[in-house]
Amino acid sequence: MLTSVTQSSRLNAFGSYIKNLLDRLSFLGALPLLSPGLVFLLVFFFIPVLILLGISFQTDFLPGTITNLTLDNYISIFSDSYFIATLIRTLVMGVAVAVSTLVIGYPVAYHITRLESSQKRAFFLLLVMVPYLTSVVVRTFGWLIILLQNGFLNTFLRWTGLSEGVKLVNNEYGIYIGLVHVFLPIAVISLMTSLGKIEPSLEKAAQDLGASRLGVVRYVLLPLSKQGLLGGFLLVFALTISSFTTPSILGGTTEVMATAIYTYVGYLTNFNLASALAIVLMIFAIIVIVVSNHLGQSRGEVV
Amino acid sequence: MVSQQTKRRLESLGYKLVLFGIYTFSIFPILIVFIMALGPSQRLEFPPSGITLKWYIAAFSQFSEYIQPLIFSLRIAIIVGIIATIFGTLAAYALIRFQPRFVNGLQGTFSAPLTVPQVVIGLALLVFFYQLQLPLGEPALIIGHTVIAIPFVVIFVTTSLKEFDENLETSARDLGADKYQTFRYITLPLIKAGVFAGGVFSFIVSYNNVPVSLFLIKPGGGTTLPMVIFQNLEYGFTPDLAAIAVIQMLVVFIILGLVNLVTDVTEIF
Repeated sequence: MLTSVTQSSRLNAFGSYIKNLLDRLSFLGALPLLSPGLVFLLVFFFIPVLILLGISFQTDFLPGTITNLTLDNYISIFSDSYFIATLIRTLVMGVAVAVSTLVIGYPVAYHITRLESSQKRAFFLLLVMVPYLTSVVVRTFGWLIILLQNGFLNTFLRWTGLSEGVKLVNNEYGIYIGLVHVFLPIAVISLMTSLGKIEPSLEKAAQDLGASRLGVVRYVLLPLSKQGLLGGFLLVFALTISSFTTPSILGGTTEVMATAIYTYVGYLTNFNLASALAIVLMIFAIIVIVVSNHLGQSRGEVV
Repeated sequence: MVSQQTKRRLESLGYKLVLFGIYTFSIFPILIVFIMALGPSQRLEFPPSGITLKWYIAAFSQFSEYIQPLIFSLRIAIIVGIIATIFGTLAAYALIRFQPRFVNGLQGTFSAPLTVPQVVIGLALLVFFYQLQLPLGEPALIIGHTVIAIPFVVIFVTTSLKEFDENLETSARDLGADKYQTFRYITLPLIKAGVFAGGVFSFIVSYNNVPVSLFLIKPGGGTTLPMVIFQNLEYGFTPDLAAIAVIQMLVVFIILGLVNLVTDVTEIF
């Protein structure tokens, strides 16, 4: 009697062990579902990027050969003042656009999160999302119409007699304006997640205690939305240094990293140098994203 | 007391003016393309001296310059939307069945193309096709756009799967449904919004793309509409280019409208 009980409990233990093992192996059943996408990305994304890495350490570009690895391309990038200037311009642009979108986006994010009706929230969110949903060529087209020498803004300035006209395209200003416009929605959404969590009663309390509106922003809202500010900064920075189309149209001959890569392929057909530039840009972008994900996870939030 | 009240009012007025300025900044550059395309003059006039549709007619009559690229773009975007949605949905469905420590790694793998600048992806694929002596053109464009679209589908579908109650699937199985039936009749209807969002986003990502297309278009072969506009803008622009840009933009809104008939768009975003 007693033995049969222990036997059956042993059997039970064995059964649950097997069940446990099967549960752990159950992901094998998911492999067929996972593999089409995984194989696709492996073949058409990870392997091409690895080949690009290989090419960046070579000085020739022949099919199917990887020989004579050298640091020449990287040395010529970092010893050329033009590349250094382009790299610095790209990074400064990243900081300037990220800071500007956060400053401009802050009142908007506050406005949307404090709206009572969800319909109004959806409307204003859509209003600010429009640039992001519109094709990049269309919105840059709009900026050209506004910013060109004989464009909307300069015509207006001449009409008022304020200025003889300002040069706002084919330089850093054009790139800056265009990119702030595109990435404003990203900053707004990033800030909305933080601002949405702040109890409106806290602001009311501060105001009742005599704080001005700006005082509420300075001492209540800003400290409590640090997370959104940081996450938004990193995200917009990464997107800015990666962007190509807007800088290409509005910057003209003023290059950033992404446009320089294309120049090296399209006009100079120097694939090796272009690859090295691409790897440098990619490393900067990945570092920023990894830092941003890490910060998000360590506070239990996804940025 | 009165001075403080006026101060509050001024602050409130300032806040409203700032908001008005920012919302205008946000939509004005897009509105002005519409205005430009409606004005009768070859040069930009503001306000326009009249309203005409002649630039739209001009745009539509330039078949090989504008309409062929539009059709080409639409075809590629539809194919990319379908492939990316299938691959991404299957992957997302499988992902949540993995143990959490694998999920993070695999999700990272599937969202990796988002972290790499698109110019780099375009160049990497160009080098890859060259090294393998494969031709550029439509298949290459579809592949390149699918690479950047898959992460969006995976993210959208995983999000809706996380909100989904797994007990519903278990119940369906207990009641005798097989794996396929469970997926078809229980899971899929419940994650429909996420799948649609992924598909629509994939379409838009492909349809608007420049940085990847730039490297993968076959010289002398078919080209996409964003590439046509991009290249024309380098040499200055004409009102018929503004008209085709408006058409390019409207296609996206029409598609969002059509999707809205099938499922609630606000539910997606």
